[in-house]
Amino acid sequence: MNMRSLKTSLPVFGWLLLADVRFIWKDFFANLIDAATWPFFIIFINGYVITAMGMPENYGAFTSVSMVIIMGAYNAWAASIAIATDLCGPKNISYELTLPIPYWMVWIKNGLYLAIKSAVFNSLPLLLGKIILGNRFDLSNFSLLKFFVLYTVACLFFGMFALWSTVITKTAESHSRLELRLIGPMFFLNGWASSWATMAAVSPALGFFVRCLPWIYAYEGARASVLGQQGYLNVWLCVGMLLIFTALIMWSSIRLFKKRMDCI
Amino acid sequence: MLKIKNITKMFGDYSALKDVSLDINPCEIVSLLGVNGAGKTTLSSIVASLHPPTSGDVLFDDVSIYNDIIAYRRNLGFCAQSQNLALHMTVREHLVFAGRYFSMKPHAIEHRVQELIELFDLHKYIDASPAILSGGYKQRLLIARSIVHKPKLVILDEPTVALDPHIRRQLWDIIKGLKAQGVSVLLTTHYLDEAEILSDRICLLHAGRVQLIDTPQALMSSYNKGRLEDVFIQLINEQTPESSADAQAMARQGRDYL
Repeated sequence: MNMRSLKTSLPVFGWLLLADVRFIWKDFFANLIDAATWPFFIIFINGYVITAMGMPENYGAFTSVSMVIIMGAYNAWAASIAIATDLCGPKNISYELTLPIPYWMVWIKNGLYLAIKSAVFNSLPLLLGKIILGNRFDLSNFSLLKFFVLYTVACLFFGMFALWSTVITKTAESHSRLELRLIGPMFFLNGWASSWATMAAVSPALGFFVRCLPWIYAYEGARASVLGQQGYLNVWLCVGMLLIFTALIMWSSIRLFKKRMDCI
Repeated sequence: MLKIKNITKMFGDYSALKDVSLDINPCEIVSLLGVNGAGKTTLSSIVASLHPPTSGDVLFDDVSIYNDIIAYRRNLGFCAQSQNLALHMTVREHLVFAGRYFSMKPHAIEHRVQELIELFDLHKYIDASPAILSGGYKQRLLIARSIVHKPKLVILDEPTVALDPHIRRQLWDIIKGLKAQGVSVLLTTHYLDEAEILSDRICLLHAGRVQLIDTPQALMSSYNKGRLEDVFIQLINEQTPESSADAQAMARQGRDYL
C-alpha cells in the first residue's frame, strides 16, 4: 500500500469510526444506567458488608478500582457480540470492505470502536465508589496522569481482545461459550478480587501463571494509579505489558480476519 | 472499461470459477445468470474487490485493480444483497456518510444527497431510521448509497429479491436510470424477466464457467425462443441431469428462476 492510498484511507477510517461512535451517544442514558447499576451494589456490599466479615476497611475502594476494569472489559465484550454475529451471518461488513480503505483499517476501526465504547462510561465506578464509601475511599495517592494512560491502554486492549474473540469463534453460540468457559473465569482469576502480590504469596505458581496473562496488568496498574503504588505492580510496567499484549492480539486478529473473510 | 481476464477461484479443492473472462463496457448493464452454485456471487464479489482471485486478473481502464485497490474502489459502488443499513443512522446520514467515505466536499455531498432524495423519492423518510422503511425503500436507499460518489461501475447483487412486483418495476426504472447517467452496472439476478428487460448483455455461468455471453435479443433469436426463460431452460436441459431437474422444478414455481 502506497502513501497516497494511505492518505486517502485515513479520512475514511475517521468517518467510519465516527459513524459507529455516534451509536454510543444514541443510548447515552441507558448506557449510563447500565454502567452504574452493577458497580453500585458490588461496591456497597464489598465496602460495608464484606468488610464487616473481617476484610480490610479499604476493600470497598479496592473493589471500586476492580469494577472500572471489569466493566470496561465486559462492555467491550458485550458490544463485540454484534460483530461476531455479523461475521457468522449477514456479513454486513462487506460494504465497508468495498470502500477506499484497506481491510486491516476496517478491522482496527472496529477494535477502536469497542475500546471507545468500553472507555466512555466505565470510569464511573470510581466516582460511585467515592460517593458510596466516603472516607473509606482514600484518593490521596491518586495520579490522574497515570490513571489516564493506564485506562486508555487498558480499554484499547479490551477493545482489541473483544475483536479478536469475534474472529476466533465460528458461531455466535461459540462466542458466548468462550465467555462462559474461559474469559469470565480469567477476568476473576486475574486479579478482580485480590492483588497479584497476595496471589503470589498464596502460590508462587499461581503468581507466575497470572503474570503470563494480560488482565492482571490492567487491574494492578489501575490500583497503582488510584490507590498508590505500594503493594501493586509498577504502573508503567503494566502499561508496557498491556501495549505488548494489545499489539500481539491486534496482529493476530488482523491475520485471522483476512484469512476468514478472504479479503484483499 | 472493466476486463475480467481468465479468473479462477478455488475454495480448497472446490473450483468456484474456472477461467472466466468478461468485459463490461461504459454505460452497459451486464447481468450474471446461472443456477445456484454457478459462481455468480463469487464473480461479483471478486469484481467488488471483496475477495482475490486464485489466478487471473481484473483490469479497470486497462490497469490491474490489484496494483492500487484503493484507487479502483473510488470508482466502484457496491450494493450487497443483505440490507446492511445502520439502524442508528437516518436515511440522510447514510447518504451523507457515503459521500464522506469517498472524500466528497461538504457542499457537493449536500447537493448530491438532495439530488438522490428526489431521484429515489426518499423525501418522506429522510430523517427516519431505516428500521421503519419497507423492503422496497430500503433497497432504494442501498442503491442510492452506492452511487452517492458517482461511481463508474455499480455492482448490484440481487437488488429486487423478495420485493413485490410493482416495487421491482420501480427499481428497474432506477437501474435503467443509472445507465442513462453513464454508469456501468454488473447485475446479479434471480429473475429472468428482469435480466431480459434491463440487460444489454447477459453472461450465463454454469459450474463456474462462462457458458455464453450475448444480448438478450440475440440469445432469443439464435435459440428461436420468444422468452429468455425458454432459452435458459433449453440451455440447462443441455447440461447435467441434476441441473435440468433443478431448472424444470424452478420453472414450475414461476418465472423467478434464479
